[in-house]
Amino acid sequence: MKNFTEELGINGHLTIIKKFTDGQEEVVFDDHNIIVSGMGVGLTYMFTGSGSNSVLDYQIDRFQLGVSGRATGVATDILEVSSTYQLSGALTAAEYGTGSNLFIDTRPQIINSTTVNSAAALIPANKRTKIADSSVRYTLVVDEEACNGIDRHGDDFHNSINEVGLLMKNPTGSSVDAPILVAYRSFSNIAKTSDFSLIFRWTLNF
Amino acid sequence: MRGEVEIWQGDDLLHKEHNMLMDGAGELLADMMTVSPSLSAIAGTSSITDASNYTIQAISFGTDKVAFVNNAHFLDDAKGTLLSSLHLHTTVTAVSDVNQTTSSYTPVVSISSPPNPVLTVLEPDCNVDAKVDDVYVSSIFSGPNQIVNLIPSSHQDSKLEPNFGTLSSVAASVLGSFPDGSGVGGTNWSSFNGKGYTVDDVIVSGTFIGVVNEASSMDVSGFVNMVMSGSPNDTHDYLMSSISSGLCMSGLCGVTSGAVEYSMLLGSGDVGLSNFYGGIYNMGLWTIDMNESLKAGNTPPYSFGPLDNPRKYKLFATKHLTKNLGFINDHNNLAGALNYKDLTIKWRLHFV
Repeated sequence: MKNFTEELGINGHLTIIKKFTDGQEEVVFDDHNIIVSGMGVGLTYMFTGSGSNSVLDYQIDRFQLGVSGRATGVATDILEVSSTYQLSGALTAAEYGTGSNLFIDTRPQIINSTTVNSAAALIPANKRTKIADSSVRYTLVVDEEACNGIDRHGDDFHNSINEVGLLMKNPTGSSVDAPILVAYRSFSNIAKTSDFSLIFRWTLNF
Repeated sequence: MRGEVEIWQGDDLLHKEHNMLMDGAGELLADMMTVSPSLSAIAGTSSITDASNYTIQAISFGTDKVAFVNNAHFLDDAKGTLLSSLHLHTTVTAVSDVNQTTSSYTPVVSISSPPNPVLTVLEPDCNVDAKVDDVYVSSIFSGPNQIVNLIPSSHQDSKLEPNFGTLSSVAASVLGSFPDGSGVGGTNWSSFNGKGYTVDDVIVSGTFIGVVNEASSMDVSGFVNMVMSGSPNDTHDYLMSSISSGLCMSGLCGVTSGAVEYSMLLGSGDVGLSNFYGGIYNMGLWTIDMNESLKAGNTPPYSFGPLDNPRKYKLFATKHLTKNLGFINDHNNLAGALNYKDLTIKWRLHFV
């Protein structure tokens, strides 16, 4: 039997735009996303009344970027399955950059029944917009100063951003926010520089 | 067809099918995802962010729209005369056109509307067209397109008496559809052959005892309130409470298996009397419609009262049945109408 999120038809669409300092925009990615099992886990906590008492804790209020979504040895679609529960190579807090406008929050992320401290960038409430009766758009802005100079393996291929995920804030109602991955997508390598900002327009249809 | 609904009679599984999630489910999640965090810091609005406002809160039952102009909803002069001569608080439900060879009523219905996820009600255009004292009852109590609950005397007094006076019990008898609880002796009924409504025409009579009205778990509009089985956050996988107290939620499956089960007891009297009004052909799970509730001037926390329920609901999931839940046959010498059994409705939503 299909699960709730499949039956309900929750799906999403991700558009990634490079915005250069002179105002020019270039769409570098435009495709569907993957709703992962964490969405169902979070909703289970809410509907069973066994998680947080605040609806704000079930909101998607943060995102992660990563560098291993399409790294060597990782098939292009191996992570694009509903069982994915973490980014393959999530950025550290330092890798998001110190001069950017991103607010980085490091919390114990729920990862396959355990928790691991992970950094994520918060999505301001005014960037979470209801655009239709059952559609919500998240606008993630990775400004010019963010995510530059990532140096993991010494070559450009491994230092490029190529995966992104949305996280639900704290469905278990933990005293310390424990987010969980609810949507994921890998994409072609983008070597981030200070010449441009990245805008992720992510629409979820419930 | 989404989720699954089971209907049990004792240990016998009568029905098991998938249900259908409505567009309202998606709207609920979009609403939930965009609640302003700033509300939590404002006195008087912080309760809007309570998670319980965004979960399943009620179940209701419906039937085909043709049923609402036939069956016990039908009223003519002879039936009106009979009903108005009876004691106010012992409503007799008169039905007609019963085959004399049987004592099991088969309601007059048509084919219900096809399952449609766009719908916001169980069955559109369900209006009772009977007039009491030259006043259309639908103009006093416009039905929410489902089976309503006006028979209990307190419901009559609150909603109908100001307009119909001593004839409020007649109006209540026309609207229906769930009997009083055992505490007030239930609801008397009689089945008549033909439309003469004389003593000689009575085929079978009885008294139905209602479970939902005994527990005061159903409001006048027919919404059965959700009863929390335990305290949220205290324990996981807490057990189901008494399902006679309303729509109960269980952590039976809980987070470990990603499912939640809702369950309620529909008493034999509830099934029997609602059958006189057209039977039960569909049912729905409802969440609170926060926007509509706020527009109506009601802010959470929302208390539930059968007479004055401030909640506005949004349809989350429905189940349409091809067979009337109240269908019954005579058995040997026992009239079917006197042989109803309690039904347990189990409704599971799977999230993972």
